[in-house]
Amino acid sequence: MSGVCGWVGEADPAVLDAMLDAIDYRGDRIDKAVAPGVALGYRWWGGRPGKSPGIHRDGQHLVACAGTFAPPEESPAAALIEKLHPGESGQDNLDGAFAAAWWDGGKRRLTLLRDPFGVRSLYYVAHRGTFYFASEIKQLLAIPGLPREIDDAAVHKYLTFSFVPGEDTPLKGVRRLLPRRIAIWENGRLEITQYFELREALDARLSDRGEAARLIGDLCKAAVVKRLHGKENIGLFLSGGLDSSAVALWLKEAGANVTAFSLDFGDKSVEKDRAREVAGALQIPLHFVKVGGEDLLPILPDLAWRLDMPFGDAVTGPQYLLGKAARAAGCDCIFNGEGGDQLFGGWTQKPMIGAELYANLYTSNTGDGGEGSREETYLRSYHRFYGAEDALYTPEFRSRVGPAGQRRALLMPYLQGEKATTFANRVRLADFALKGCQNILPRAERMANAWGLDMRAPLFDRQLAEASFALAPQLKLHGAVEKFILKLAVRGKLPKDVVWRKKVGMGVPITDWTLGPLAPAMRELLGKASLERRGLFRHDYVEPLLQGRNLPGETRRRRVGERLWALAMLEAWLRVFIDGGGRSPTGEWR
Amino acid sequence: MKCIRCGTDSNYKERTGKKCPKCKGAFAFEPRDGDAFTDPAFQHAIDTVSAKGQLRWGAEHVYYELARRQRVKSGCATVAFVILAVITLIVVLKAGWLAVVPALVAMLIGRHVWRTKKQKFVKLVQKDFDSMLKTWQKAHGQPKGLIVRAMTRGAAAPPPRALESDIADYSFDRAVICDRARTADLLLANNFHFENNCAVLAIDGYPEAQFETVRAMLKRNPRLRVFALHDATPKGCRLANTLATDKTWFAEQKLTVTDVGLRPGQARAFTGLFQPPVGQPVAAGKGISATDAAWLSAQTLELAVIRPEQVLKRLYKALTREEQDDSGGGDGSSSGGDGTTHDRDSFAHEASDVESDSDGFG
Repeated sequence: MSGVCGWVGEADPAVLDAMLDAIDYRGDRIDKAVAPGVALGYRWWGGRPGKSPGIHRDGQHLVACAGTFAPPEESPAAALIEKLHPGESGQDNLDGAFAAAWWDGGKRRLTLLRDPFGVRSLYYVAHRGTFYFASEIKQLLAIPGLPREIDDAAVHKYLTFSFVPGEDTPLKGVRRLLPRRIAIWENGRLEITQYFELREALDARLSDRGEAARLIGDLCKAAVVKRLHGKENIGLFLSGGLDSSAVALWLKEAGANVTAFSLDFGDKSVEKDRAREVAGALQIPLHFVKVGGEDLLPILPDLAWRLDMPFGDAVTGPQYLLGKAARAAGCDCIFNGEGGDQLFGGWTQKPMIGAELYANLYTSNTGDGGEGSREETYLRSYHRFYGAEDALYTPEFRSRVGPAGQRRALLMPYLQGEKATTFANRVRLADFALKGCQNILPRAERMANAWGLDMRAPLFDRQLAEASFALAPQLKLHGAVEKFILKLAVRGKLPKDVVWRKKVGMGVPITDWTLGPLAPAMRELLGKASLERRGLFRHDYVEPLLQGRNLPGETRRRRVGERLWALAMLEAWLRVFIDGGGRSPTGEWR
Repeated sequence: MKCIRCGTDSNYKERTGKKCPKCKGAFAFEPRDGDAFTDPAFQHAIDTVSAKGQLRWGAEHVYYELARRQRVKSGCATVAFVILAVITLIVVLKAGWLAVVPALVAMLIGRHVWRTKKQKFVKLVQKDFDSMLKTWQKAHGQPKGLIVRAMTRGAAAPPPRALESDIADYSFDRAVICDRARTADLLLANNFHFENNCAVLAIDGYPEAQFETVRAMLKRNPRLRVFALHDATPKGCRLANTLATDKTWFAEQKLTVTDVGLRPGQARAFTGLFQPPVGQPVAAGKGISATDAAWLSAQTLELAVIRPEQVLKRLYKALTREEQDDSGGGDGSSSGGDGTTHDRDSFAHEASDVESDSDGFG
């Protein structure tokens, strides 16, 4: 909720209006500050506590800040300059969900800033001598004459991760400021620094599991409290899994007025009963939101537009509909349990451990230099198109995606570097930095924003994250028990089977949907004519997927739908942003 | 014969020096000189076991694929025999003595069919196949997907990747224990362990460098799910029992072991691909019934007879079916009463699948 934009250089002031209009769903109020060679814009919802009530003006300083700090400040924009100072009262404790721009007129310097975990986004582009920035890509597309070309290397990465990692975006020339970064634009030069780095720092005092569980429990509860902004109508996305159930517990303990929302996939639901059990035990009102493939068909264009970047996980559709239901029920903000897997050791690290143990047993077959490496194993764990490039890509696209090793390079700082000494914490760091901060959080924020909801993910808390990497990894993955320390922290307070059972996952029945109610849209987006027009993918690879046929070595049926959805959401994004210029689309694809 | 490199069809005279007249690429085989298979037939076998290059496979899989082709030929002979017998009958009715010719041919084919029907052991000699594979590699290089160990057993290991100290402190959700190292190779080389969070070991200590570490890790999960994957041999059919009762394995954890291997009841449909028995008559007990003991005393069957894609898919189904049942005794499984259960469905349909798949060769 809320957004910023602006530029340093020369541009028509009408462009600022266009940039603010492009995100009209991010608020009902706008504020603008235009001076020679600079412009700042800010859009927000009035009457929401913890939000800046406009652009902060202080002498030669202009500050626009979208989002909130944790703990909250009355006006984040007014508090920002103080918080940017080094030290305990400033950068060392900077936390929350924000993206900000500060113009220092005296020094003629623009400072851009993002929150530690990437809830709020910021993009920038230099065009015809002017440096532009904005919360969303669609705002930058309001710049007259900005070229709309596909960045093939970014698309190549998307096809491996199902989101675009790193500074690239699929719109050539547009870059993303990464989380926990400060960017300074001065004298026509951009300099980016990092104000916070998550790394392993094992604390021997936390080797006692009782002590560690108490600490984690206290920090989790404090993280929830830090994100409560006075009297609000709070919604909670409750899956019935451990993480969201634990957040429900801490919200309840903090005395919050909370209503829970849970997905209902009909006979495909896997955690519905658990959600009901948790809500019953904590006496929280629970609404089930029925979602089927037929519900997604009419919203696909709008979904692609509101996501702003291509996100290929099928959870976005149900999240969109959950947000709609929460808004209809009168909620202002929505809490979730995102981050539990990344912080406390979810299921994703187990395959990595097996792969590491059995690495290099066989001679390489591809000779691309990466086979059997940790990085390659990690890339394969996304189960999209890594390794299928020759089969999926057209020769023309294949020749444009850039050199080998660019995807592995994104992982090396975590899986090989000095940031951790234990294997499990290395994997956690990679998960946290990429999957958590560049995928889970931004997409959840956009799906909440689609309905004017403020998204809060308390487990992505700076103190909590640092504490989790002070714990021995064996307290997180204990034998084969995932998130062990979190289980210890909530045992006795939540139903036993919710705490101790194995993770099931949300289980979006995407294969049934893409081959059933969504099949007309899949055919429209990924049929032969569409693929030939776009020129990226080979029809002979995609067609069997459209017919429901899995790849020969693939054992899981759900991969058919996951791959179709990832390809379809990319094509949807390309239609809305490259072909359509980022304007709100109309009609349906079928 | 078609060149597998450029697709040019050539006759024997044109293939001077066993080379393609167009691209000059070498042929591995020359049926006119007595080779049992053509290059396209051998390539087809590789394509089939590798699922068109998508999977990794062992030489033993190509061996059985080619052996299966010889068995398919006997199937063709049966069809020819029936057709000729019908023709003979018609000619006898219409033209009297002219029936002698088709009758003679039908008798000859009938004799061949009878012999091949009686033949239960695999016809392709292992040594001949090994030689064929070498010839193939000489002409066409190392085939894509062939599983080749980075180190051979007993040889000096290459410097292992330095593992962080914590890695052996964790455990797995499942373990598949095989009766032979090559079966473990098939699973590991195709990342079955990665896809299914599953330890893979062979009971006799493979892979050597990881064996004890992984076995110790398995003991850290009191809810570990154990699966036995094996040939239809006495050793294989006793594998689940051994794992459930041996203290060095899972006896002390009191874990139930699910037998997902090939057993005589499933193996019978593979007549013509059997291997000879392993010496002494097999005694019943320790996981082997009297009926199975009788069968195993007369022949055995290797799991490699099943194509890799089917092994992986059916093993995955068995793993997930077992988890859905949870009790280990749901539909399609039966208790062995000794800490083991048998997944009767794991390869139950494999024989018919293979039989119906009579891909053309060459």
